Amino acid sequence: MFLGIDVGTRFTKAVLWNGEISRFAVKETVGNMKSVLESITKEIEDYKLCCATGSGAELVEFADAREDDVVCLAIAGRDVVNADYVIDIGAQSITAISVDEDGNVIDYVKNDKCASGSGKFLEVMSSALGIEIQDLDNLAFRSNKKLSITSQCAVFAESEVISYVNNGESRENIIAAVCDAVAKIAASQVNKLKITGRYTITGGVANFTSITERIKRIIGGDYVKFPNPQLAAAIGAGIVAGEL
Amino acid sequence: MLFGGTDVGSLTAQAVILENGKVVGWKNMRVLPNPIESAKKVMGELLEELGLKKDDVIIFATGYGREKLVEAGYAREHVSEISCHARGAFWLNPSVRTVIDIGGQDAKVIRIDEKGRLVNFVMNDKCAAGTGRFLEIQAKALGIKLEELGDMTFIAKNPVEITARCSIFAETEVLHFLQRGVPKEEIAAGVNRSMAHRIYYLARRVGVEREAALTGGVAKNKGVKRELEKILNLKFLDLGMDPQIIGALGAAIFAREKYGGE
Repeated sequence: MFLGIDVGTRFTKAVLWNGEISRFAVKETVGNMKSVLESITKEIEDYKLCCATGSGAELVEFADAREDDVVCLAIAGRDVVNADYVIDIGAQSITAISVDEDGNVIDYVKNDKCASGSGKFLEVMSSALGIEIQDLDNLAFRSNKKLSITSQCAVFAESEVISYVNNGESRENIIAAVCDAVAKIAASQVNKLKITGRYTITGGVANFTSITERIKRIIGGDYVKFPNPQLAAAIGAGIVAGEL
Repeated sequence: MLFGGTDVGSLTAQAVILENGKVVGWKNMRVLPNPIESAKKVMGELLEELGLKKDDVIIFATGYGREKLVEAGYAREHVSEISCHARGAFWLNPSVRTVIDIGGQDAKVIRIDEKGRLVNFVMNDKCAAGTGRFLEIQAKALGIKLEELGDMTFIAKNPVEITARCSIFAETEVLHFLQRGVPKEEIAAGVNRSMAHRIYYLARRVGVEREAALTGGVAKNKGVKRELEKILNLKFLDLGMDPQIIGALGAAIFAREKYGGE
């Protein structure tokens, strides 16, 4: 059994891996990270080796190895769903990776400089609308009018959302427009790689069907769903730990 | 003869009136939801203050909704913001060669020649970084008024380094600094410095001549102004006028040049 830990900017994910997910934990990346990580190893203590990844990987002092999150995502994409491409939408980044047959990274593009289209983008819009982010799918599904958000910048997009609210547009229709915007931004990022094979979508944002469905509609082609997409990088780290 | 200019921005709107080539009055206010109404209101109030009637004045419009103001018959003509800022700054001080205008939702760096003609410009209106909105967001995160932000540069001893370019990520950094108990003025000074860096990177794309003026609402933030002067290694020229009304002034000058019989 091998432990993969992905310390993201918003959530810390841990997976106990033995060819499949044996157990997992998701905690907020907040406050004293030492105690957050201790609470994880208290829940999951029966592991042989541990590999850490994510922007906070160096915080995992007890890790036997550390690996880049792009590498971990590529490995997980190939191993779990046999994907040629991984599109990862995290709290503060959008990454598109092309993966070779052995799970190695061929090429990738990453935006982590700007909140455009990221989980943070969704959080800002949800909060402007006064909705819980978990309700996003339910609300977006009930939309009945097409609105559009033209700004890529989260700050300017938030102003557009607020204008819609002030004009009396429904939350359902506005959140659907937000989902359209996120999908469009993600797809344009991915476009730089010219997807020709099978692709999957990972990261916390991939938990929202309203987003993944829209990305699929834009990109088309051969899509495969990643089970527990938020855990993808942690799974990759678990696989890396198993190969140490 | 009387000439007027209106300039509607994302957050504020201005009106200026010229009489015999002198500024006889100007006004600045928060925008209304509709840019046409904003222009009419700010100009209307200014006319009233000066005891003038709208028909006494030939008005040129710039900023948001400028075309519609002409269609509605309120303004005689409209001129782009870039031209108006260049014209307004040059009219106030003919040695100006670079105008850096930082508004609520955009930033422009405009190069002009010795006759005040537009040479080149660069503009950011796609990203909130380097605009007034960036400062607004950080001031709110700090729990201080936007007007208080600028002066904090002058009391800070060790400004923090804000590494994120993105306004949203920078806000997260600001909140983290607060949680760690870093004094507000050190964070605020870091915010002003980071803002100045954004503008510097924008300005580098067209180059900056030493005879430069800073205009727009952000020019009132003394901290940003000071940091920008340091990084550009120059001292901004004094225009002797509220830096927020330069666009409206430029519009009024265009009206006078076209219809003033000069």
